[in-house]
This record gives sequence, C-alpha cells and structure tokens, in this order.
Amino acid sequence: MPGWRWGRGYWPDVPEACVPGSISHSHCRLVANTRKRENVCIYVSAIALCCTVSIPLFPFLQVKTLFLTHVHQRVPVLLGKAVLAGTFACMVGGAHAAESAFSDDPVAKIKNALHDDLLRYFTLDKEFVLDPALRAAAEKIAEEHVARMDKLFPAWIEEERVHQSSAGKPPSSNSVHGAVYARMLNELALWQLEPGDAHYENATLTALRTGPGACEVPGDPRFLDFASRIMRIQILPAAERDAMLASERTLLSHWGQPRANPAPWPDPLPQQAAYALLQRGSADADHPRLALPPLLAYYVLGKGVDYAGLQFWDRCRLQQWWLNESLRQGTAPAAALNAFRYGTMLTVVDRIGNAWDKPGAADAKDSAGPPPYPVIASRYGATGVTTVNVRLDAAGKPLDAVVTGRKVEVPGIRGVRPVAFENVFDAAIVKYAMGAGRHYDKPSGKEPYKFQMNWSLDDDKNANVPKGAKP
Amino acid sequence: MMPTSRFPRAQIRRLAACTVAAIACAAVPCLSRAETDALTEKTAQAFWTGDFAALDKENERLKHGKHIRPDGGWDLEYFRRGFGQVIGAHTEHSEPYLRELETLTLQWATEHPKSSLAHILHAKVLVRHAWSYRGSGYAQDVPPEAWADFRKYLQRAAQYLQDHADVAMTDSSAHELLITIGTGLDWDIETLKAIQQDGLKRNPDDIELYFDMLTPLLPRWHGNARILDNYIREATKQTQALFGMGMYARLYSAAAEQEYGHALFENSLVDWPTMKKGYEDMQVRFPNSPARRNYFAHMACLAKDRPTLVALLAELGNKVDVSLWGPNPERSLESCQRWAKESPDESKDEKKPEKKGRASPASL
Repeated sequence: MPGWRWGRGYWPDVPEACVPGSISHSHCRLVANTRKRENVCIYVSAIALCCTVSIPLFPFLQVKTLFLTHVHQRVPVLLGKAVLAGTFACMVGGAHAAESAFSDDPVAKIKNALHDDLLRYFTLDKEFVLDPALRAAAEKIAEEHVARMDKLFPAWIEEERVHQSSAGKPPSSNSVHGAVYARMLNELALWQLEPGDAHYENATLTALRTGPGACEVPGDPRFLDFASRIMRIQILPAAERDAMLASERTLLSHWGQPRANPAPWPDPLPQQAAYALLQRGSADADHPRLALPPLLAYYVLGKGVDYAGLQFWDRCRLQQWWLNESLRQGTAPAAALNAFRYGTMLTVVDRIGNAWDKPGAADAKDSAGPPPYPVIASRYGATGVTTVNVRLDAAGKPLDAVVTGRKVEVPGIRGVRPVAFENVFDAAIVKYAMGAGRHYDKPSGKEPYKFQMNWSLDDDKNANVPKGAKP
Repeated sequence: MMPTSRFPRAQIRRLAACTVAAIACAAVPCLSRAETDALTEKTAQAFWTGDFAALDKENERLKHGKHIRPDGGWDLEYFRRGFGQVIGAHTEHSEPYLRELETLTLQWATEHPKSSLAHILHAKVLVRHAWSYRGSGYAQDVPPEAWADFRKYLQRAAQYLQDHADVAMTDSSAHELLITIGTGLDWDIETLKAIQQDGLKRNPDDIELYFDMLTPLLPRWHGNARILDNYIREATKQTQALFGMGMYARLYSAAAEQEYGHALFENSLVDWPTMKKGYEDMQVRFPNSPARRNYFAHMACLAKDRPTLVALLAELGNKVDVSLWGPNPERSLESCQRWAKESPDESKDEKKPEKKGRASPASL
C-alpha cells in the first residue's frame, strides 16, 4: 500500500565491518536499502565499496557502484560520486579509528568532500517543475552559496584542527572532518530555523496558507532543504519573487557567521499537538478544527499511521496543516512559523536515522538498565542531558513521555546550539521511559513525572545516568 | 500551481490502484481499466493534496462543451474518476476517513458557496458514506441495521443537493450524482428520467448521464429486458448525430457488464446486427480506440459471430486487453480465442440453434 517513494531513497544499513574500530578491514561494505513499507513496489539497494585500507587518511568517498533495483530490473549505475550514506559511514566511522596525522593533502580532500556533500543540498531535482526564470535564479543563488562555502571550508578545517590540537594531541584528519561535517549539518539546520525579515515572514506564511502544493517537492527527502524553500517562492505571485530571492541570499550569507541562538523548541512539538487534536475525533460544532487534506486523512485517520510512520512529504503536509490550524486557533504567526520550521527541520536523525544501529541491538538491551547510546550520537560524539516528562496513570504506569529539554554538545559546533543534533537522544529516551513493564514508584497524579538522562561518552558508552528518582 | 512531483504521484498511483473500478469504472465500456489516465491522475492528485482551486478550475472548464477525445472517451468522465479514487480509497478505518472528507468538502462548500463542484463533492462523499454501509455485495448480505444508515446517508445527500440546487444543479455532475442517489433510494423511473433529461439540458454532452440511467432499468433494479431495450433505443436516437448507432452498442455492452455477463444475447433483447453497426459507427467516428475494439471483439464472441471476432482479433494483434473481456476475463478471452481458431466445420454443431422442446396438443 501507499507510503513508498521511488527513486534514490536508499538508507544505509551498515554492517559490523563499518563500525568504529573495524576500519582496518580490507573493505568496509555499506549496504543501503530502502526502508521497506508494506507492499513496496520499487526496491532500491545500493552496495558501495569504501574505506579501503590503502587510503589510511581518508577512507571515504570510494564508492564504486550503485545497483538500483527497479521492480524486476537490475540496472547498474555508476554514480561517480559518493553516496551520502557512504560518506557518513566511512567518514565518521573512521573518525574514531584511523588516527592518522594531519597534513595539507587531507585538507583538500576534506574540502572536496564537503563541497560534494553541500552540493547535494543545493541541487534542484530535474523533475521539479519550476518556472524557468525562478529555476535559473535559484540555481544561481545555490551556485554562489556553494562557492562561498568552498572558500570558507578551509578556515573551518583549520579552526577545527587548532581546536582539537589544543588537547595536546595531534588530531586525526577524520576527527576534524567529522567535526566540520557536523558543523555544516548544523548550519543547514540553523538556516531552516532562522526567520527572515518581516516581508519574508509574511510571504512565507501566505505560501503555506494558500499553497496546498507547498510540500510537493520531488527529490531525495534528505536533501530537500533548499528545494522546499524555492517551492514556497514558486507558490507566491511572481511579483514577490525578487524580494524573496533576495531574502534567501541574505539568509544564506549568515552561514558561518556568529548567530544568535534560534527560538526554543516548541513544547509540545507541533506533531504532538496535531495528533493530540486529531485524536479527539472528527471536527464538529463542539470541536471545530480544519479538516485534513485527503492524503493525510487517509494515512492518519484511515490507516492509523503515527507520525514516525509518515514519510517526509506527509510529515510536511501535517506540519502545514497544523500551522494553519494553530493560526486558526489564534497562535501568533511567528510562533506558528517557528513550530513549522522545527517540525520540518531535517536533523541528523532525519537524514541518517538509525542507519548505523545493528538490527535488534536496542531490543536486546536489559530493559531495567540504561538505554543504549544511539549509535548516530556516538559517531558524532554527541553528549548531553535530556529532560523527559512522563504522564502516569494512577498505578504509576506510563501513559506517554515527552522530551521537554535538550542540552546537547557536539564536537565542531561551538557558540551556537547544535540544533541538528538536539533530538538525537529523543527516541532512545522516550522508548526507555515507556519501556514495557516500566513502573514509576511515585505516580504524580496530574503532574507528569519528570526526570533527566545524562548522555556521556567515556569508556563505557552506555553509562547513562538518569537523574532524579529512579523510574 | 501543482508540480508534477514524482513522489506524491507515485504514492497517488498506488492509491489509485487500490480503488480501481470501485466507484466509477464499472459501467463505462469504452475505457480500458488497465490504463491510468493523465487527467484522472491529475485530478486525484489535486484532490489528495486538498487543492480545491485546481479542481474547481478544471470543473469549470469541463462542465460545458464536448471535450470528447479521439477515441470517443470524454474528459468529464476521466475527471470524475479522479474523485472516485480519493473518495473510494480503501482504508482500515473508513468511518473517520469519510467523516474527515465530509468535513473537508463542507468547509470547501462554505468557503466557495458559488462553486457547484464544492457542493457536488460534499454530496459525493455522503453517497460514498452510504455505500460504505451497504457494501457492494448481495442485498441479502447487508446487515438490516446497515440499510437504515445507507438510506439515511443517501437521503442526506439528496437533501443537500436540493438545499443547494440553485448552485449545484446548474452542473450536470449533480444530475449524474442524483441519479445514483435516486437509484439507491428506489425512486421511480420517471423521476430518474426527468433528472437525466434536466441534466442533459444543462450539458447535452454529458454522455455519462445515459450510462447512469441504464442502471435502474436493469432487471436487478427496477427494470426488465423490454424497458431496457426501449431506453437504449431511445438513447441511441438521442445521440445519433454524434455517435450514429454507437450508443446502442455501448449501452448494451454496459448492460452486459452490469447484469447479463456472458448471457447478454440469451437474456436481453439485444440485436447483434444493430450492436455491430453501433460499434462500426463508433470506429468510423473514433478510429483510434483499441479498448472499444476489445469490447467489440468480446461482444462478437458472445454473439457467436466468428468472422467478426476473427477479424477483430487480427486487427487487435498485441493490443488485446484481457481486462476488457467480461467476467472472468482471462478465461473468457481464452475461450474466444480458441473458438476463433477452430475451423468452422469443427464447431458446426455449436452453430446450430438449440432445439427448444415444446409441448402442444397436436403431439398428444
């Protein structure tokens, strides 16, 4: 049944050979599969050979071949460039293992790799039907931005090298690359959250209020950041375009500049608020609300799909619907837009997800013990504290758990919140809080039970310490 | 503007596959069910994403004028199919889904009170809601309580159209819907015919009205072979300028599909030479229609007209579409092809009319 996308929707499942410490294996095999949904019609798989031991400093970007399986056809396709998953797997995986010296050559390689990766976020899909003039203008902006970042990357690499050297030990090229890559991902996320000027904000609201096609952006959902913004501009009257494009230029110029922290995460998250409202039932005189567009009604109400089960485009549609519904309820436009931006922001969880987790590893954990450290967090060296509110029934059984605080640190990201990584522990802590058989000693009645989880990377990556009363 | 996004489209194609023929396809014999039409897909996509403005614009374009395709199909029918794909989508929880569609279409109707389509869509959802109680099985399989809900929703739909008649009934799509409502509510034939004729006054090119009116005249509803035949001849006359005798063939083909199946020539008053002439007239006017040629070939087989069948199968070549060969189409096609290959002598006995026993005083 529906819920499947075709095309380049591969998601990496990284076998053991790619985990940290195993990088010296002669080949690190990356197998990427689509996330299969029920009745998947098109199955795409990618097999990439990477991380050869013969390239000790930069064991990445050696992707050779991608096999695409389209229905019953197998078509070998030479991509020439690394798939993102391969980059992630090998680069960050290597960051923990290959402790090679830093030299000028790796700087060029890191820079080239960052360029290739950044380009993916700023390339508009050929199937994206855009007004030619708008496409040309958008592509020019993208080209200029990538060129500017190309000039900036060496400075970022040097800054990171110096920073890591201050610990007294020469940094590995991989650890520097991983940190700079994290910084780039965070710039992408900060860019998604940053409001524009008043005109830009009003026009964006107009596009989202009046454009039912705002989420219909073709391409790989992990790289649609720029395309989504251009789609909103296309929805607006042509007279608005120049001003909007100028604002896009301005917002992109903030990359790498000192920034104020973005507005806090909405609490509850827009998707939580949206689902809570929908669970109250159909709209009627007593419970007025905007109706869902049919596609969302089909999945959410007709099929009972939860938010995690929705695909990128349906999530976007839900966020757009919620923006309009919250405006109808009287939410301030700035707050509604902030919620939409957080709701549609692509974090590392969205881009990579649990690709590095060993299948079943989380389930095998002792439910009474601390939750397993998300592999993606350990790969990027993310640490921090999450705060969770757990609603309990009278017997102390958890009804639901909501993350209300995220204080996260990530190597390479300094002076600004690492928003791209801030939800990296959310799924693990919610699963832990809601674990089967979990019982809380002190049911707190109407007030939710609150606790914190420390996430630290030391000798034992699973040494997570819950603060507060033991659940 | 709605982009032609391959991802949402792919998703929508899959949805379409699940609802095929459930709503609108059953009665119309000129279209291949294997085909996915671009207009249907575009319509469904706009509906799925809630793009009412795009739907309304398209309806305004199509609700007047011929819009007949080179193969004799008409755009309005493909457009309506797109609605059927969304409204008739199969879900595990149909009640909340249909309620949501009711709310949505009512919101559209409130926001666009002068849009005939907005009102028609709301009534369409109510009709679908009714049928979700009735189901598509035999009457004996419908729970007694479900009949009440079925009728209640149909009455709501009829009432809604009546309440908004000043806008809705300017559009023959409302008449088309009202005929299906009236059929479900057992309205008398004359009333239904009056609705049909009123719809044709609004849009003389709304060919689907002829097919909708066929259903209540079938023996399984309130008609019989004679009433049906009269109607088909009348409709053929009414459309002669455009289709020649074509409507005769198309309506009888629809009757086979809805009721008679392989026994069309045994149980109805169809006249094969007239039907054949109808197909030939259609082919002259709309030569590029492999789908209709498939129907023609199937009917030739049912009528035991081997030369015509052989000729048509040869013309079709690899354009034979198994989905168009009646109930149990694969076997139906197989047996027709086999029969076509047999030499006339081999099946001589088959050609002899069946001897009918008769008792008469003389034989005593």
